[in-house]
Amino acid sequence: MNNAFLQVDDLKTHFTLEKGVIFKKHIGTVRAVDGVTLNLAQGEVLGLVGESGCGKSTLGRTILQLIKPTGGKVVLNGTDLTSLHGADLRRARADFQMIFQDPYASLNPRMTVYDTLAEAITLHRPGVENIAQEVAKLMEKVGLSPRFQKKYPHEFSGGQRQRIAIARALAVEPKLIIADEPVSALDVSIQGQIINLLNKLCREMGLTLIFISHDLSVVKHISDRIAVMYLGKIVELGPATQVFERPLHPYTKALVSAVPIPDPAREKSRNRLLLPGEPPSPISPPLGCPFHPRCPYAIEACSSVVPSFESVPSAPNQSAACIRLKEIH
Amino acid sequence: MDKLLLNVKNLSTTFHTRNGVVRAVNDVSFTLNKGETLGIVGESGSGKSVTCYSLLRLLPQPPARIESGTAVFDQTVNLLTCGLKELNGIRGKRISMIFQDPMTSLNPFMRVEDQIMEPLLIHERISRNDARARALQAMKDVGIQDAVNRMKSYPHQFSGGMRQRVMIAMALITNPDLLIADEPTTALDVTVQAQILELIKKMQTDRGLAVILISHDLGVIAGFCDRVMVMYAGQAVETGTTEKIFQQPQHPYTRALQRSIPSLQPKGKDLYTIPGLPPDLTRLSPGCPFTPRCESAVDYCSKEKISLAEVKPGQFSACLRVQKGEI
Repeated sequence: MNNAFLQVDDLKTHFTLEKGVIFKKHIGTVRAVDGVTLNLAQGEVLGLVGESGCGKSTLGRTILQLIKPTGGKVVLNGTDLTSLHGADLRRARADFQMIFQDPYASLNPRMTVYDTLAEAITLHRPGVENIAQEVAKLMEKVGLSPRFQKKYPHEFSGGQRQRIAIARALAVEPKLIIADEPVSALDVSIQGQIINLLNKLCREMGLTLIFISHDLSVVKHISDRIAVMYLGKIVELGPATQVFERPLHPYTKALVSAVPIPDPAREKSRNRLLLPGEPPSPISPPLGCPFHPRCPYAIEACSSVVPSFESVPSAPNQSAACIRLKEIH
Repeated sequence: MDKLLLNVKNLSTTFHTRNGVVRAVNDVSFTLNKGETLGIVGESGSGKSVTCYSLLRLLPQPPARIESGTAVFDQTVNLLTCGLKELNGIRGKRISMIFQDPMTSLNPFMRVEDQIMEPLLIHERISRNDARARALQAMKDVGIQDAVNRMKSYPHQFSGGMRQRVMIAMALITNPDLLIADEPTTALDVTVQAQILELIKKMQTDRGLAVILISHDLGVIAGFCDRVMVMYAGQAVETGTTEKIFQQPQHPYTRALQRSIPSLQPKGKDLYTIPGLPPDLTRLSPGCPFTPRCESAVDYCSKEKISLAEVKPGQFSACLRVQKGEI
C-alpha cells in the first residue's frame, strides 16, 4: 500500500520530563505515541478508539504537525509533512484540518461566525472573490441558516457550535480532517445530528476522516475501519463492524464488553469481562505487550515478547498485536 | 407502607435570573422505597440534577427558589422545610451524595484520610483513632490497594477512577440509607465506569442502601436501576420499572430518546435524531413541553396542562394522547 493517501510510518511522540529550573535534569520520558503505522485510502473514515491517556489525541495532533514527532514519517498525498517548516507547513495546512472536542473553547468568543469563517477563507484561498457568498454556502452546508452569520459563539447551543467548528474546518477545502472527540460534549440526541452531518460531508466531498473517540458505539457508526489504541500503540485494526462484533485482541474484547447496553434484559444477563486496575503509566510502560498486567489471557511470555500484528484465518483483513491470538481464537 | 424512604410531592424549583424566571423543576413527584434504585434520566438541562440538589437544599438561594412541594424522608422529616440543624444531621449521615467530577468535589489541600474521616467526626461521637480505623476499612471496602499508605496521599495523586472510589468511601462511611449519585461515571472511561458501577451495586446489596442514580446514559440506567423516571424540560414525563420503560415506553420522548442511541441502530443508515432543540425554560408554553419536537403531537398537546397518570399497571406517562388511549 505505497499509494495510500495518508501514510503514517512508525510515528513516535515522546515528551521528556525535566526537573529543576536552571540545571534541567532528565527524569523520564512519556511515550505518548510509540511506533504507530497506519495507511488510509482517500475518502476513508478511520475510527480511533482507546481510553483516556492512551495517546489517541496526541496521535491526531502529531499527524497534523501540531506537535512535532520524535520519530517516524507522515506522508499526505506524496508530501512528507514532518519535513515541512514555517511558511511551507502553513501553506500545506490548507489540506488538513482539525475539529476539537469542546466547541465552547475552540471558537474565538470575540469573533462572529462570519469573521471566523471569512478569516480561514482569506488566508488560504486568495482566489475567492465573493467571501460573503462563500460563508453563506459553508453555513448552509453544515445546516446553519446564513442569517446567523453576525452572531457570536455564545449565542449558539453546543450542537450548533460544533457545526460552526466543522464549517471552519471545511472553509479551506481540506482533504483530510481529524475530529478529536467531536461529539463527547453533546447530548445523545444532538450527537446523532453531528455524526449524520460528518457522514454526509465525507460522502459528498470525498473527505478522508480520522474520527477520535472513546465511545465505541459512536465510532462503529461512522467508520469504515477502526484502530484500537492502548498505551501509545495500536493493538487492533480492522473493518468497523468486525472489530465491534468479533474483536480479536483481549483489550478490545474488554472495551466492547464494558459498553453498557441500553436493554435491561440483555444487560443484566450478560457476562462482563471486567478488567482489573487501570492503564499503567506511559512513563514506564510494561515490557513486552503493554496490556499483559491487566490481561486475563496473559502468560509468562507476554511480559517479554513484543507482539507483532497477526490475523486469524477467519478474518484475514483484521489484525491484532497479541502473541496468543491463534490460541484464544 | 413502612418501606417508603422518600416521598417527593409537587417539587418546583426556579432560578430568578436577569433573563427571567427559569423553571428548572416543574411539579415533580416520585417515591423511593428502602433498598431500591431509582434512575433519573434526561438530557442536559432537563432538571435531573436540580431535583436532587433541591432535596438536600444544596442550591444557593437566591437565585434558586424552591417554590412548592414536600420531600418527606423516612416518613417523618420534610427535607424542604425542616430546620437547618435537623437537615445537617441528615445530610452526610443518612443521605450522602457523590458528584460527577471527583476532582473538583474533593478538597485538594486535605489528605484523603482526613476527608474520609470527616463525616464520622461530625456526625458521630468517635475518637480520631477509631475514625481513622473506620476510614482505612472503608478504603479497603471500595477496593483501593495498599490503603494504609494511600490514606496519606492527596487527591491529585489519585487517578479519576480512584478518586471516585474515595468519594464513594467517604459517602458510605456513615452507613447512610440513601445515596444520591449524580452522573458518577460520566467523567470516567468505559472500563473504569464498569468497575465503579459494579462497586456501587455491591455496596448496595451488602448494606441495603437505596440509590438515586442520575445519568444521561440509558445504557447505564438499564443495567443498574429497578425503576426509572424520565425527565424533560423540568418535568417528569414517564416513570415505571426499568423493564417496562425500555420494552414498552409509553411516552413519545422516551421512545425518541431510545431510538436515538447509536448502538441500537443499524450501521450504514443515518442515525435517528430528535428534530429541534429542548425548549427555553424561561418561556415554557402551558401544554406539553415536548410538543414542538413530537412526532405524534396534535392541537391540544400545546394547550392542556400535563401530569403523570397511570397508563399501564405500575407505569405512569404524562403524554395526553397516551392517557386518552389514542396512541
